[in-house]
Amino acid sequence: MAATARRSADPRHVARAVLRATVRILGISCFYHDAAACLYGDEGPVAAAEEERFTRKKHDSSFPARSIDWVLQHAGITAHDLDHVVFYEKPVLKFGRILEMTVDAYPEGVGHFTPAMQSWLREKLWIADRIRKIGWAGEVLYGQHHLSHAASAYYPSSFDEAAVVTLDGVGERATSTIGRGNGLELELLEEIDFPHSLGLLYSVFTAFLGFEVNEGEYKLMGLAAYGRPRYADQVRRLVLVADDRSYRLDLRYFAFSRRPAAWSALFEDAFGRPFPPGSLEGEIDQRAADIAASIQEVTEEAILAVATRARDLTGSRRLCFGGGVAQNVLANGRILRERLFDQMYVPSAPGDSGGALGAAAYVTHAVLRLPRSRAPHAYLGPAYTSDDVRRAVAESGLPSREVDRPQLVREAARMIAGGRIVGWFQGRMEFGPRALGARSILADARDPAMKEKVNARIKYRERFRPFAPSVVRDDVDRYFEDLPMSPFMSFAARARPEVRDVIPAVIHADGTSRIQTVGPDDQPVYYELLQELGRLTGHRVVLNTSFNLRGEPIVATPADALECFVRTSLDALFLENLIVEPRPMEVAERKGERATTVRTIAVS
Amino acid sequence: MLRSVRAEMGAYIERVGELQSGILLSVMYLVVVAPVWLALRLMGRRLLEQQSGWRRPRDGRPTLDTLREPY
Repeated sequence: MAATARRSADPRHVARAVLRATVRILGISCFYHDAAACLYGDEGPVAAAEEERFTRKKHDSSFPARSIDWVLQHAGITAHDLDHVVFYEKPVLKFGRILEMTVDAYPEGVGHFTPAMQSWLREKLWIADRIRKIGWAGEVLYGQHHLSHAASAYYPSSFDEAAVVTLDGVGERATSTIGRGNGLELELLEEIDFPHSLGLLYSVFTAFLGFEVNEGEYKLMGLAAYGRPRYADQVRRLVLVADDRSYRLDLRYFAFSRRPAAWSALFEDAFGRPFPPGSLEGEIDQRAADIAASIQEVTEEAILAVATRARDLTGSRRLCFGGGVAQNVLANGRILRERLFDQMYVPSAPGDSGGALGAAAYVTHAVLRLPRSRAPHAYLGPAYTSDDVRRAVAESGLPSREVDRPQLVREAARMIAGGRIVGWFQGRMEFGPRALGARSILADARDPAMKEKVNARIKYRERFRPFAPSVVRDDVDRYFEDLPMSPFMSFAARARPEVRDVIPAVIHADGTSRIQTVGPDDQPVYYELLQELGRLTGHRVVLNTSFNLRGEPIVATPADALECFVRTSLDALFLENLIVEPRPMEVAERKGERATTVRTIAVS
Repeated sequence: MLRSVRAEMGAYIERVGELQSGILLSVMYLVVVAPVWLALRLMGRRLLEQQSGWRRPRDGRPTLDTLREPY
């Protein structure tokens, strides 16, 4: 494993091209969660990747040295060739906010203070020095956390003008912002500051239900489908929406930075005893499901209030939505359903990793006044040549066949339609948390038992978590209501009643799905696969889940994919132009350890 | 006899010393520590409580100059 991880992190295993842009800007985000680097040129983002994909540590927050190495090598340049390097937030401002929090919590927060200060004084405050170690001798620019989110949401969109909303845990101080994008201009107009944060509110409930913060929010969302919002009134006492559509938290219910758990005794009076870490992995607990449904309901109400404020303030009928809360696909779907806006865009990486892209985009367009490219796609990570793939397969000793593209597509479609579960590794890796047909596990959406099969053989996820479909863009109306386009799986939409028995494996308990729409220009070979599936089954739909093992990042390299393949019960791996099959009599090694649950809400 | 009186006197003085130390510590706590603690709590709470509702960002449209600042 360690040897493979080292091999997979080797930045030499990349497809190279020389970037012929007149401007080259490196964006960096790190030190909270999901560190990333993005190289931005005249034509928009050239390369971007999360550090976790190289280090194989999920949500790795450390300085993204390997991602930086990779984006520079991908472009065929060194740090000396860069024009600007921009960090995605202002560290000194954030440090000031943390000191204020400590003062507020004194003396209770002292236990958190010492390690936090060590990390700040050792590393975080001196980010410029760390950046210079990559070979950059120029000045380091500092974006703003929420402006970076806003830029990552606005500039890649196809909108000439838009309202821009960002909702996140906390940046320097802001937790929520409303801005306006117009051509090359982007301005933040209003903000709500810490400790009033929808992101932190949701994370407190995530931890209360025993899920890991910054990872278990999806689980809470999935669990909500099984509950009734019977605690919604209690949650509304925690988060108060004002007439001006701002919101504030009632701080008596929270203990940010005071206690290991971020909720107070009053919170427990309202919602009962907290759930021990990992306790909800088996059967569905009705109290937990009802609490999940309640926080989801109230979060959606608050998000709608902020979105309405943004519409009224900017007068725009288009919305760009960024920040970690923009990963709440149910809330995004509700904004669409409520028709607050005519069009809406959520980037592929709305969270902190996308801050690297946003910071670089802001410098490129707002400061240097270079035109926007407006061709958003998520395939900004590494790709591998046929030689790379052949070498990796030879090292693995697994049997494989080399085929041309039409045959690859035909065989994959035939296997999926026949009930097999396959690994799909094609082209450049996705930037962002979702697998979008480049590093995916695929299966037949029509099989009612497929969800259980994928869980039992490969993913080992909680049974209340749904699997998502990829659907050809032109067919989306046939299956789902109120969903114009969702190339990055950013929206949940209701399945039409008549198709709920047609593609049951990808429809959740509440009748919704988190959908990826696929067009011919998004990921051509993936689109061809869906076309072929349509010819075989009559449905251009496939179950698409991320190509990883539980608790691990999505695979990045052929070696990662092969390792995941041998450790699971995948029936075949479509690795670029090779079809890899299991060794005869091979017994897959199952991985069943439980993830450690983090119950502290980190706000530093 | 004299020795026992001395011992009793010594113990008494020690007790008084302990008492005085205790009183001194209490006074110090009340005069120095508690007000500082209270002031810090109130200041911190005030800083946080004041920050609710919409407010204008300090720099909603940064320029190259303001991007150079880490604060």
